[in-house]
Amino acid sequence: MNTPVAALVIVGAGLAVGFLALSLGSLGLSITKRRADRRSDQAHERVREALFERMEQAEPAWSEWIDSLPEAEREALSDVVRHYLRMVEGSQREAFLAIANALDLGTEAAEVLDREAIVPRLQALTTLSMMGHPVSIDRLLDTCTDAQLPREAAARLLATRRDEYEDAAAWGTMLLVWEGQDPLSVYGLQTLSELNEGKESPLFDHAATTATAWKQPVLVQVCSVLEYTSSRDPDASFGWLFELLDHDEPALRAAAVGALKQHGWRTDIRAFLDIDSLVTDDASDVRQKTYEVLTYWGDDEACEHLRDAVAMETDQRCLLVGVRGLASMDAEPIEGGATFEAAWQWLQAELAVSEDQELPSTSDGGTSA
Amino acid sequence: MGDSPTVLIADDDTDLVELLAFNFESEGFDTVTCEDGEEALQHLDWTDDLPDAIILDLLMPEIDGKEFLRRRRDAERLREIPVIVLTGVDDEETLEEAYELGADDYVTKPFSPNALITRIQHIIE
Repeated sequence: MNTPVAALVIVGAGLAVGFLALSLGSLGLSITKRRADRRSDQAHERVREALFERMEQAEPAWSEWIDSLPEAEREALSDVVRHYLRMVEGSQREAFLAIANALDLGTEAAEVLDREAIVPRLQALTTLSMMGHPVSIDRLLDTCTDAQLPREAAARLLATRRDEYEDAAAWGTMLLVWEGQDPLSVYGLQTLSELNEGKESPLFDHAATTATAWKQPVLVQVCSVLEYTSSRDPDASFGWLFELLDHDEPALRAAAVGALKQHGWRTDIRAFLDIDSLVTDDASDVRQKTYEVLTYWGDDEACEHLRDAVAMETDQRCLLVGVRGLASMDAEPIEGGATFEAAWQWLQAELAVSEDQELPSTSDGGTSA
Repeated sequence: MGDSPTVLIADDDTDLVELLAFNFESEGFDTVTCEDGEEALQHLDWTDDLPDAIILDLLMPEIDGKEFLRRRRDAERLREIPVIVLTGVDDEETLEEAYELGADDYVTKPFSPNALITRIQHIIE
């Protein structure tokens, strides 16, 4: 055999041996993992059955049972109990909470907050929230402010256990919005709304001092939250919102109008607003949002503004929103041209489909059709 | 099966199914458990002992809860079995759709097992 052929044979044999070793290694790992999974599933099933058996006993002696469990079964029991705590309410939840406490899941979760990986920290915050395990604000600030997701989960914990923390709404709001650079998830928006519902509205104060540094998507989100949140704080700061009404970006102007929706009852805010300017804004999104807000306010003054605006409106989408608003207020619209007629007919068709509702008369005395 | 009322539970969450079965059996019910809508329909197809009520998850592999409801609506012998939807989905649209498809009640997770049993007892009576 000459030298090049021999070299090729050696390389080929080496590759074959390497491939064989790799295949055997993968197979071995796969078998090992499958066995581990099967053992874990079996342990899961065993502890679940044992758990139900004990739940039927008058004195289940959870701590003694848990102390007697091998590590794998203890882990499996922890998974089962965490799962049931998420799923179950009522008296049975109390039983699962007792088992979770006997397993010391709260302390274990509090320790997990020190980990770098985000997912275990999110799971730990969920467990802490479900169990009502005490975690200080300082600890949350130390361990959960490196990214938006853990900040939202920490805020969720504060919202869920609001009564146990001083200034939970303010801290939670601060965690959610943070420096205004990262848009919130739907989950975060929901939490932000809950924290700012009612007498407390720290979002207004937080925005008053920091909103100028927030990115536009965050500002729009915050305004959207305020649009649907019934804050009743008479001292809430509105200056930052009024400034947004003059912003160059129409999306922000529209969002700011929407954020005022829940505050039509405040005469000082109504007096400050230049509605005539808003209903003649160049951007149809701003006009449309203004019509929605006027409809929501629904008083004589709002109705008058809406009637006048609809009479001048040329954008069909805005016009439809306007006439819908007028119809909901039983207001007599001022007849316009063909565009108005089209919107009015569309509204009539909508009402005919949704319910047997009568339209208010138009100014010429008929129910335009 | 004996004289006890029977509940069919269709949910791909085995832990939850077992918890429901435990609770219902503790209250004197018989239970049939299925991992998805297809298994539930297969069971209902060939059993002579139709259940007295069905607890149905909406999000399941194979045939999901909505499709199950559609097929139940089309099958005369199944139409009278009351179905309670038990789901983590709590938006209005899904709730309305479930009722339109013939669900008799709608319970969202987290839920109280005792309250669910009471509802089923009430529906069966």
